[in-house]
Order: sequence, then C-alpha cells, then structure tokens
Amino acid sequence: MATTGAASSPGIPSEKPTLFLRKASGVVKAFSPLDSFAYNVLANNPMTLGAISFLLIPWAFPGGNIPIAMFIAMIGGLFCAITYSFLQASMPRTGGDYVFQSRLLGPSIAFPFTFGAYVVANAMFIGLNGWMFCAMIFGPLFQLLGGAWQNKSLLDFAALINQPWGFFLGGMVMIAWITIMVSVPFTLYAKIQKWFFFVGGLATLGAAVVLLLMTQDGWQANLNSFMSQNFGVKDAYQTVIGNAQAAGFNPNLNFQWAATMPAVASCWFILMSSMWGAGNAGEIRDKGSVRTKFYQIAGSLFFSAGIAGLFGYLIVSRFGSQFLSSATWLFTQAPDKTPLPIAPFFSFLSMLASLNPLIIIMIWLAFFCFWWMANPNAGVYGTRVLLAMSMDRAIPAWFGKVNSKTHTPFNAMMATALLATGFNALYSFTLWFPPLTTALSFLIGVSYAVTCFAGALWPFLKPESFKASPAGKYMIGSVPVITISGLVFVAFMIFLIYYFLTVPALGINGVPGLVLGFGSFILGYLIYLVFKAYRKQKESLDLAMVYLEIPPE
Amino acid sequence: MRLFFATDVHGSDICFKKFVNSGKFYKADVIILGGDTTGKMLVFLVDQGDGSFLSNYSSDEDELFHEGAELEEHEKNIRNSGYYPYRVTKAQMRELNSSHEAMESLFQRVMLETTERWVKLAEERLKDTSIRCIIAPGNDDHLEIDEVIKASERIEYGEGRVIDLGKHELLSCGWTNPTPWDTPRECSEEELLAKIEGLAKEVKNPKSAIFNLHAPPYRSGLDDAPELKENLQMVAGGATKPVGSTAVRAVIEKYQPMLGLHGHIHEGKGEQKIGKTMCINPGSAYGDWVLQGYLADVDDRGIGSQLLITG
Repeated sequence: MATTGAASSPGIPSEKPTLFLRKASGVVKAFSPLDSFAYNVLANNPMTLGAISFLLIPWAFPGGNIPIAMFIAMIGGLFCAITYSFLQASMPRTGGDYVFQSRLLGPSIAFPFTFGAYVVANAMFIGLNGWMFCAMIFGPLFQLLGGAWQNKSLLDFAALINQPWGFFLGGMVMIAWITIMVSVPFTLYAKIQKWFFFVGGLATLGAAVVLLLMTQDGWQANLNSFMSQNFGVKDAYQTVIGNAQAAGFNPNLNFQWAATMPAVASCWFILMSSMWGAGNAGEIRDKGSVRTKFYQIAGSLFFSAGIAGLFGYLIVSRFGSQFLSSATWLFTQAPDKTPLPIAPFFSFLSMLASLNPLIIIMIWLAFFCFWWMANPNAGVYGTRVLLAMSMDRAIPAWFGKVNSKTHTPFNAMMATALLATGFNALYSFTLWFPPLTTALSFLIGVSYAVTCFAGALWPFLKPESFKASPAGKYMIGSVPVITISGLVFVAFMIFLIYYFLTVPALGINGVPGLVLGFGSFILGYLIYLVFKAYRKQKESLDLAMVYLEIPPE
Repeated sequence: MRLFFATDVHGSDICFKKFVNSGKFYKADVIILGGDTTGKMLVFLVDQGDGSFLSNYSSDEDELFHEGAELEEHEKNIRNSGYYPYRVTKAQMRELNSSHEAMESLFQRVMLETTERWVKLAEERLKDTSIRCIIAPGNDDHLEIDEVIKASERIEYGEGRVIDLGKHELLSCGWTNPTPWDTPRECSEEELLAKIEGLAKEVKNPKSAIFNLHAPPYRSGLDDAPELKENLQMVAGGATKPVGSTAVRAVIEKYQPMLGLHGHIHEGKGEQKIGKTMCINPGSAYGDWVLQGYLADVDDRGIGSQLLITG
C-alpha cells in the first residue's frame, strides 16, 4: 500500500483529500528530475552538433552573432519544450512523435512526417559520421598529436583518413558500432553511455576552462607555430584571412541582425534533440507531472543553449571572427586555397588552445565522448520508429521482427544501416551532398512542428481526454496553454522554414535540398499509400483500423 | 473466426467500454480480456459541507468541484483514467487516513462494485449479439473478482480453463512469475509451470490452440520493462530489462500453440515468433484512455491477417 500526492498517509489523520494506491504491478516512481536532467543534458550532444553549426555560421552569415542566434533558437525551442511536456506528461506511455501524431492526426499524416524525420534524417545523421569521424574527431587528434610529438606518421595518417575512402571507412566503423550498441542489452548500453557522458562532461568543463584562460594572441601563436613547424606555412593566421580576401570574401563585417536571423536555423540544429530524451514516465499521473517533464526538457534545452552559446562566444573571441569566417569560407568555398591541413571544425581549433598532448587529448575527449556515445541514439530512435510503423502494418512486418537469439530488432537496424551506408557514400564521395546537412534540422523540425500542431489541436479533436489529462489543467482564460505553445512553435518553425527556403547556405533551396527536404515526406506518404492499398487488396484487415477509436458509448 | 484481444485495462471505464464495443466495431466473433482488469487507486473527494468537494487528483493544487455536473464529470474522468473516485465526509476522510485496514477494505468494496457494474454493462451491451466475451483475471486482480465474473451468464470466465472456440481452444492463466509488488496472483516459476502444464494437458490440439497467458515469455521482446532501483524508482536513461516468465516461454516452446496472447508488461507492445507460435503483447495505455488490442482473423490454416490496434 502506498499513498501519493502531498496529502497525509494513513496513520496521520487528516481531512484533506488523499489518494490510496494499492500494491499493483507497474506502480513505479518515474526517474528523479535530477537523474533525468543529468541524462538529458548529456545526451543532447551540443559539442559535436555545435561543431557542425559553427563550421557554417561564420562564413555563411558573417556579421551574425552566435550567442544571440542561440538565444532566439532557445526561445523558439522553449515553446516546443512546453508542448512536449504536456504531451509526454499526459500520454506517458506513448513514446514519440509517430504515436503522438498518429493518435491525434491519424497515420496518414504521422507516417510521412516521421518517416522523413526519423527514418531518413536519422540514417542521414548516421551517414554523416564518416566525415565527422575523420574530419572532426580523429583527424584533428592525429594532426595535433603528430605536431606535438613531431611524429610524421601520425600527420600522414591524419591526411590519409581525410580522403573520401577514409571518410567512407570511418562511416562504416560508426555504422558497425551503432549496430553493435543497438544489439547489446539496453542496461549495458546505458551503463557504457553513462561513463562516456561522465568523462565527456568533465572534459567539456576542462575545454571551457582552457579556452576561457586563453587569449586570442596566445591561440594565434599556437596556430602559427603548429602550421609553421609541420606544414611550413608562416603566419598561418593572417595567411588564412589574406587568402580568403584575395579569393573575394569580405570577413570585415560587424554585427548584423540580417545575418543573425538565418543563423537561428543553424543554432536550432544544436538544440532540437532536447525534446527526445524525456523518456518513460511513471504510470500514475500525479501532481506536478507536467512541471517535472518541463524541467527535464527545458533544462536540457537551456543547458545545451548555454554550452553552445558559451562555446560560440569563446570561438569568436579566442579565434577571432575574421579568422573564423575566413577559414570556414575557404574550406567550403575555395578549398584549394586554404593552408589548413584539415577542416576548421571547432574541435580542431579548440585543441589548438594548447600544444601540450595531455590537454589536446582532454579537449578531444570533450568531443569524442559525446559524439561516440550519442550516435547510437540515432540508431535506437530510427529502429524504434520502424518497429512502431511495422507494428501498425504501415510497413511490412519484416521490419519489426526481433531476433530471438540476440533479442534485437535486427531487420530494422539492418534497414537503417543500409540507408545510412548510402548516405555515408554520398557524404564521402560527393561534394554536393555535405552542404545539405542542415536539411536534418529541417526534417526533424517540421516533424516537431506537426507534433506541436497536433498538440495545439488536441483540446478540440478529443476534448474529453484533453480535459481529463494533466495538460487540461493549464489554461489561460479559456484557451489551453498547449494550443498557444503549439501554435507559437509552429510559427517559429515557419520562420525557420522561410530561411531554409531562401538562404542557399542552409541547404534546402536548391534542387537537391528540395528533393531531400520535401521528397522525404512525399516518399513517406507514397510508401504509406502503396502499402495501405496492398494490404487492402491482399488482407482482410484494413490498415485504417489501426488508429480508429472504438466508440465507448 | 475473427478475435479481438485486449488486456491490462486496470480499471479504466472508457477502456472497458471500448472493449465491450470492440466486437461490434471490428466485427469480431470472440473478444478476450486478458487480465489486470481492476484499478489501482482510490481518489477521495471530500465533502466540504457547502455543496463542493475537494480533490487532489492530477493537478498541482487541491481543486474544488461543485456537486452536480461538474463533480460528475470529474468523477467520470477519474474512472476513465483507471481510478476509483469515492465521496467522503471530512470525518470519514480522517478515519480512513488513520487506518490502513479501513482503506484496504474500502478499496476491495469499491473494486468489487465496479467489477459488478462492468459485468452488467457487458451483459447489457452484448445481449443481442452472438459475440463471445471471455474475461480472464491477471496477477493484479484480487481473487474475489472471479466470483463476480463467474456469476455472469453472458460473460465466459477464462481463468484456469480450456475453452472450446470451435476450431480452436483457448487456454487461460492469469498468474505470473514474481513481481516487485507482491501482487495477488503471482508465484514461483516452478509453480507457474505446473499450473500451465496442468492446463495444457487438457488441450486436444495444441497446434491450433490459443494460449492466453498473462505473463509474456522471458526474453521475447514482449517483456521489456523499465529497470528499477530498489526503491522502485526507474533508472534514468530509459534502461529496460526482460522480466517475462521462463515458465511461459518453456510452455510455448514445448506445445507450440498457434497463438500466444500476453499482457502484464504495458511497455512490451509487439509481436514475436517463438518457433511456430506467434506471441503477442498489445501493451496497455489505459491511462491515456486508449485501448490497445490485437485483432486477428484465424482459421484452421492458422493466422491470416493480424493487426495491433490503438482503439
């Protein structure tokens, strides 16, 4: 026997209303807000996602202010966090966009949007890892350790893996790692992840301290020394700026709102995974469940924005905005003119804060630990969505088969791995595909917007269940808060979509970007229609029945 | 034959009503409720003496509800979420809060009254149909509810029996392997194996039989539950572990029935083949007012179409 809520327990007579909870299976306590917060903020991976955004913003939006853009993205994301808090507190056993959308809007809407966001975008994210493996994580490590130890083999190896085949093989290593991690028991996965996050968290703190103590002159001297000793480039700092100017780039732009606003779309890329990690809730929807969820999700959002905003500030103030925008512009727009031996990801640039191998390794760990352990999450999410779709028979049951020996969704993982291998090849062997990376935040952001839209309509689509839910208690006048927060996030996403569609650097407004961005949703819809028609013809049970509500009266 | 199976409605009025209506809605010949039918919590509404009642259910602050439509709607919401609303005076609340035994006794009474109400509702709604309705209790259901179900002339009591469904036989066992909550119908794996084996021997043709075993088979993917700390708090990060029954798995592997219907683990929604047996756990989302279920067309050749539904 147990009691819940703030009321008294038996033995302490009180006339206040109480709840009597008997012994029954499933009566568990949700994980503590502190546990959840710690897990979510660490799982959000702001360092490696930040590295991608910080490679784009300086050259694409010179004059854009990263901390301001991050703040705006955080405020927009806050409304998404509010909406997800309501949904997750009210449907604690639902677990994910696909089911939220299916229940409230129907599978014909849920399937295409979650197919784009969680099948295509997740596989794309996994495929991106070969490039990250070599250019952002191991390449800089071998370069800088090679320089510190004057070891030519390490330098040569760094150069070797920063080739198309190196990217591809690195990507396959990551795909294999993700496959293994999806296949091991979840308890083991969680334990390994916890340790990586712990080490990564400490290393991130160390990296921030090192950069805070570093001056721009000191960092410039380190870069020049490294480049001079190992690559014979004198005054690399000024050379980068000079080469970019000579090639037609103007890095001397002061702060501009016009450049800051589109940067919000890139900052959103760093923050968006905050919504994913709230996890399973307790079954008994007691007082404060919405607040607890909000603290978990928004806490993760604020933390990620804080970390990314801090590093955004540090990279500009320590590396210099002229250098940063020139280096990234040369890398993306005139790669033959850059003197740098490797992509100017902020992992590489941050590690240059010291030429001491131990400090280099510590800063590297800040990137490596989060990147290495956060990536299997993409595999987990991708396979879960495929499983859910398969259970609904929206795709063949083959995808949902769980291997009885390994106890894993082997087929779903293989399908994800196959798709990710295709994206890995595109990232490794083409030049036109990598700039489409920001389509990831478009695909996932649109799916979030659909979920928020579903949340906004919930009070009107299913008023009885809404009123009875924890979300139904939050009203401003006669307007449900979830309707307001949901619609504000939809408006925020429309604001971002405007930039996605009009700013070439955000990767969506060319033909390949449009095909990837909108084509993924259209493909998802076609798959849904085709399979639905097939089942209707071949089988006696109609797919439409899956989410039809049985009338209770 | 078209069958519909749902489980773990845990006292949710709306889910039970949906279950009763599922036969007509899906044109099913047989509807089976797999166990854990009763609720887990009493929610007290304390009469303030001025026509209003104080409640602390599902909100940040205690809320007042006025007698009449407002209070009735609140009670309906509580019932739909799987809990039992109960009106008391301040004095009764004081008395109940001071006595664990009184609380337990009241809970039993309300639970049985609700079960009786549900049985009557099912009888009423199914009286002019040929739909067979089978209800089998689960580990969370007190033994006292069995008599209520058995007393019905319209509902078939499933527990510990093999029911003839024409071309198929339905074996039901709501007992489970031990849980951390010491629930009314749990026992050791050895005892569970003996219980199910005893029933399985009555089955004439296991290949076409349906085994309705509340506990899912161990390590089937249908039995993944959140990993808990000693204080029953979930481990952060969403770690899960298999908590199904080895006895159930052994029986499934030995007899290879056509279909295994399971529940118990609400998060374990899915399907899994163990040998030739299709094992199903439709999961449960009763707290969201959603009836998760399994719909299948079966004949002497086996399972034709099947769907896990969210109704």
